[in-house]
Amino acid sequence: MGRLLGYLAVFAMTYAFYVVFTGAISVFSLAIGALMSAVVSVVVKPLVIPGELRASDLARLAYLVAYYFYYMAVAEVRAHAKIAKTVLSRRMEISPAIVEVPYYVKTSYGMTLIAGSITNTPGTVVVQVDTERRLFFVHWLFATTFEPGKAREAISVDFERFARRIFG
Amino acid sequence: MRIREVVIAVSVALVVLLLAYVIEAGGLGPIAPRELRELAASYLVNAYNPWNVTQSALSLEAVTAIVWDYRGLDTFFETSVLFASIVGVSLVFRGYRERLGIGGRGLSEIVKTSTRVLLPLILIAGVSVALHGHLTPGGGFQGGSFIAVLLVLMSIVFSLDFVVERGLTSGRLLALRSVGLIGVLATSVALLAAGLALGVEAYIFQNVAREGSELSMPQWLLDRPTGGTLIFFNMFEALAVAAGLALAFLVLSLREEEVREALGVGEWYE
Repeated sequence: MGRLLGYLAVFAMTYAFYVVFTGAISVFSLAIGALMSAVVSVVVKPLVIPGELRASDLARLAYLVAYYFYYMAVAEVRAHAKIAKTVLSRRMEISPAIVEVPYYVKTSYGMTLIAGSITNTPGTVVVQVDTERRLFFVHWLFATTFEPGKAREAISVDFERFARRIFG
Repeated sequence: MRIREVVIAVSVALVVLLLAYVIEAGGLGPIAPRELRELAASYLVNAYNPWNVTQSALSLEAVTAIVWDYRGLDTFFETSVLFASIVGVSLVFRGYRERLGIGGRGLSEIVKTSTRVLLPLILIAGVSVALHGHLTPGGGFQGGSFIAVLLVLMSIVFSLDFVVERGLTSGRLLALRSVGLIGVLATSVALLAAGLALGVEAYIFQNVAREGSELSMPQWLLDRPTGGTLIFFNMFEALAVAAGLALAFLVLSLREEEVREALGVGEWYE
């Protein structure tokens, strides 16, 4: 059951992308798309979802949707506003530095979500990850501290809260 | 130094501006003639023309109609030339063996995880481009090139070991490539074989009913035309191109340990 659910998840993602990419809703396109998405998901599933999925994991999708809106409407807007203000001001008050930011999520998907979120908000970029020590090295435009715990507090704590709910 | 840069910038800008002016003024002749030439007009009228089937490829995409129907033989030899060049690549490196455990760490865990999600999406995009070749721009070659990116991406992001461990060896890719090419060949003579079996007249590269032959490939699948042979050509061509390009990349990115024996053979001949 758990394995079947994994295949279904990969199929759903592949087929949804196919429909958007193809941009046609003729019976022909939808039918061959469903067939080929099934073939693709059988081939690729072990790479995409190495473990198993449970039905209770579906609830995580709700967090993913919530996170999308939080990230796009709040986190991104806040970061962009700060950068815009800095760029337009007569005196740029920046203190660029590379700081260590720890993370505590267990899965590589969770870690990737945090890293992507940090990089995609202007002002912070993940330049390296140390998976053994569970550390990001983040280039931070407004560095206020070199203390890893405090840097995490300022940069990634909100992202991580969602990432743990979504990917564990 | 500053003056030199200014002069370069201004002269480049001038060249672009003057060239644009010359083209705009018609100095290089009309870019696109207003009236179509007869040949172009006949292709456009006949690419999809259910009222005149014997002249038509029944494909909504005129380019695919030309590539795989009107000049299908030409395209077949193009595909064969690509195949020959890939055979050439593996011949130059003959004697190599793929080996596991040489190492290669690939890129960071972040890139690896993001790539995992991308793999099915790239694959299905390639399939979509290939199978809609007779309806929208694209086709077998384009779709196959999409799919070949998968192996390039995997070998760079994960490592060559990762690719070979998952069974994508050069032997298997060559087999897939051959299946694709045989499929193209079989499609091109399918109606001829049917004609011989039924004792009626048929042509090589025949798509739908032609002058003097009633035989036809299936023209519709569900609610869209298939372009007869075109959808099969695109399908097999995508397989052949994907496997062929992936194979060429795999062989070219072999590591020294894997080709050393092959090089040793060359030295022995000397």
